[in-house]
Amino acid sequence: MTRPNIQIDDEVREMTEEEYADLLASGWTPDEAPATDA
Amino acid sequence: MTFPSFSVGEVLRAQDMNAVGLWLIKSQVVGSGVSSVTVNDAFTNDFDNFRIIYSDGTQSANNSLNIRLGASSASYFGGWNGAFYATGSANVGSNNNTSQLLIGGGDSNGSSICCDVMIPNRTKYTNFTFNGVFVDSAIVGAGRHAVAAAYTGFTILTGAGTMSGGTIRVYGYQK
Repeated sequence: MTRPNIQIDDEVREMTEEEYADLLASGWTPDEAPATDA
Repeated sequence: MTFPSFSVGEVLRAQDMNAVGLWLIKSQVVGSGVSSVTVNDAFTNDFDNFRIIYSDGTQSANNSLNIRLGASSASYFGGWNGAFYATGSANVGSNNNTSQLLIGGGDSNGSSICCDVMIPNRTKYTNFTFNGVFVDSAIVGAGRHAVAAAYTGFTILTGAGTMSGGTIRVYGYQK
């Protein structure tokens, strides 16, 4: 699976595997179905 | 002259300008599809208290936007109260010694943060007040980072999915 991007000031890049592991450990979950008011 | 009303061509005196309430410190445009945005050099020593505003962006999922101070990923405590639009029932929750603090949120129709941050640049605990608007509910809340350390930057993280677009602006409250 593609890892999400991370932004530090103006730099945007794909997360490293270690950063992605930390993100998942924090309770973050990948995209769900987009939620809208419609 | 009577401030805050200025006249064309008027001399801007130091004592008047130094009383202006909010000063824009930093403006950070958010990229596309990012799960976090780090804003460095925001909490300058010119101010004690700060306001973070994020607007005109979206999220891929209806979820929270959370904050971390510097690289600190522990000791965040907070609570919020609000209501679900459809039923009026309570939307109550908390962060209890978590790795980040909820301070806003949104969905694919719009995301926002409006958060006051008290003395993050001092070697004391940092307190927060915030609100959040979601697809199904709205909340207000407050919280604390219980570490006596000073920080100059912060990171906004999504609770799920990614965020895109919009601008994060940091203002300092005049002392």
